[in-house]
Amino acid sequence: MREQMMNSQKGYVINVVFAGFMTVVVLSTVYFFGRFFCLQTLLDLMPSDMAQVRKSPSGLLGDWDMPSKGSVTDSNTVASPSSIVIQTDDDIMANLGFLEAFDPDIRWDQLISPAIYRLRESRQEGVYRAIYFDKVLGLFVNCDIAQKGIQDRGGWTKIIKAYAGPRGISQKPGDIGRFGDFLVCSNVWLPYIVVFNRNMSQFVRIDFENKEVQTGPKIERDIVQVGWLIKNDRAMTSFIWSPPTTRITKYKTRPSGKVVEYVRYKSILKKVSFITGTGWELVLDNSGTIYKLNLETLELEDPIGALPWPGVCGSLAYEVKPLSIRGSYAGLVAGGIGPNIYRPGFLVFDEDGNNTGEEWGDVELSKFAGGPGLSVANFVLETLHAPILQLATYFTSLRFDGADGPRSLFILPNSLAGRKGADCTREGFVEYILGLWVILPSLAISVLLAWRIEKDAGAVGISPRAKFWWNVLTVAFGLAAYITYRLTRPTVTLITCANCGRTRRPDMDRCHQCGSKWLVPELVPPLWRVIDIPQPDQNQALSSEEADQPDT
Amino acid sequence: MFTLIKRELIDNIAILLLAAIVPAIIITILIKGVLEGVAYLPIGIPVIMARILWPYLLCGAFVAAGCGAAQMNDDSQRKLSTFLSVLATTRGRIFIARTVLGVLLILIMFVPLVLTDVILLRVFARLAPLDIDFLIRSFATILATFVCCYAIGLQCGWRSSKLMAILFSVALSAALILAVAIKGFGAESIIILVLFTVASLIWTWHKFLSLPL
Repeated sequence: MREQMMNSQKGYVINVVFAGFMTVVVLSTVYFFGRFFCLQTLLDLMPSDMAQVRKSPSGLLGDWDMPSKGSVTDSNTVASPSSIVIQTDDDIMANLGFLEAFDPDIRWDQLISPAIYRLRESRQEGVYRAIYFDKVLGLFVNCDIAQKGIQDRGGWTKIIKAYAGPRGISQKPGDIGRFGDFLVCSNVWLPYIVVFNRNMSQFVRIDFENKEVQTGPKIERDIVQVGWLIKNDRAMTSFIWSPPTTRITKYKTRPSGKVVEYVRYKSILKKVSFITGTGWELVLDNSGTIYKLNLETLELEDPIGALPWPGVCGSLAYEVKPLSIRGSYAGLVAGGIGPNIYRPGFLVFDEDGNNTGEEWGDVELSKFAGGPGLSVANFVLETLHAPILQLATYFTSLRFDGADGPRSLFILPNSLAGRKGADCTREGFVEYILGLWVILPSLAISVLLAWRIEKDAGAVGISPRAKFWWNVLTVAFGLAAYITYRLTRPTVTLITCANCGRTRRPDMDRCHQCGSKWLVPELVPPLWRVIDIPQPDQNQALSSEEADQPDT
Repeated sequence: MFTLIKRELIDNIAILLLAAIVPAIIITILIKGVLEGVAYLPIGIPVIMARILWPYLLCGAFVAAGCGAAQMNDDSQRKLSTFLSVLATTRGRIFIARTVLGVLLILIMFVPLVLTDVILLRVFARLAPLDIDFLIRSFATILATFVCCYAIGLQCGWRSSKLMAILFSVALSAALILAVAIKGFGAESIIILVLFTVASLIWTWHKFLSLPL
């Protein structure tokens, strides 16, 4: 009986563990799409002016944005100063894993040719010139690829021109070293590519045209991006720049003879663009500091800006745009969406790297229809998440990449708990602990569910030890544990206990209510028998008694 | 053991044929549809290949889940295991034979995809060396999804109604496929799928072995 009980217990534990895991996965997926729906609808309903952050004057042009600058142009004043705008994209959740295969940009960058860094059509028709990285060799390869005749669908030919490693360029691979971990800057305007060799912490310039490889000095910084500094560009629109304009009034005479006045706005500054200028590129390190890389010497110059929040990891999306006026660097703007998706913002730096301004958006969810309801629904879904996972989110939110947040199933860095954890990390220890109040609603629901289980488990006949573990697990995993309990609770039909009169389980040795054993009636046969046979004469009776005796 | 596998094979020959025909039809339709839209220099991994993967995963996963559920439901309705248990075998061996057939079924569905991709990679020029990482994580995720959905099918098959068994397994598979859709092809998806498969198979194993005759 005991062995049978133990086998039953073992099977029960197996059932509970695996049913619990499956419930957690399925529930987390359901919660995810609930939150996805709430956030996506919220962003769709949000007025566009609330989703965008605008700064005017931009702070990049200094005196050029001043109202009255006769020296700028001959005949006018600044009618509207320059402005910079960024906007949270309503496709903020669109970086789900499966979209990799369908999004045209991602498809081109990551699926088709993740190792191809440059591909351009040469002057010769049907011939393409390419630079790609050969993982096996650890070298960059310069080659031409050409179709065998336009009409011929037979195939392509590839002619390798040269291989480039950290130590030089060669016609054949070998003796030129190999690249391991690296970052590439492949600006289409440059005749060469610049590689940051992470193993050696050095920048390397590879010029296939001149067959030259130049290595720079050691860099102490932890470089994370070179060239175009951007992350998760689908979560926000790119910076929109508007130059300062002047108002031009003109008059036109209609055929009827009436003179009509019309106004036109014209940009004051010419040749203002979001490009770096010549001779240098932008470099971003892990702390969020932006540097200039001198392409001639391959050395880092002084910092020229920084992201609005500490560290690259915590940001959901960012972009850095340098501004050049008439070919010379005029400053940069850096920003995007940090750990808090409702508060996008950016910083403006002048050409010397001084912070000249900042702008932050603040989404007021109560100010538009559907906002409060959807945010409450989102909060409820976050609250239903397992308290133990919320606790893990609170303590670890800064360790996860912000861009991975929207595709998280278990740890939710973009949830209220995650944002609070990230905020409180920067404050004192006491504030960090007090910030845990965000988990209290979830904990309250779990305690309520644990109480329900406690009540039901008592009636079903679960042992006190098992009840204790159910309580612990329900407080830790909340609704997932409760559903697991409902799926795996014993379904035996209860019978009445002969001792206490209450219901008890028939498959247990003792009554779980009163602890009494089964009362087994003693089946002792009585010594007397009732026999209904006619009275025979004595001789016949004796002979029949002898015949009825069993063989022993 | 071989006899048991052979018996499972004969019993489920219709399911195996379905698993062979459906992927072939899907691949033919997808390739035909996608090839018409190709108008670029085909370098690296062809877009068609990437585009095939998700619809194929979706269809294949549902077929696997349905097959698993139908297989287990047939057993419970026709009392096959009950009959076999009185012969010189054990329920554990019967379950292993069934799982072996499931793996065979998944391979029948999986091989056409691999063959298609191999052909596509030969047809299209590849400028850079093949991105093996992408191929490995894609195929591993698809294989893990098929196995996981089949395991879910086995788990949900013990229902009195065959239709309900299949519908329930397809619904549970859909939740799992959504989890894969969130994570994409990669290690995270594979870990979730493998754990889910182990959980599902152990649960079914335990249930199968402890069912009354």
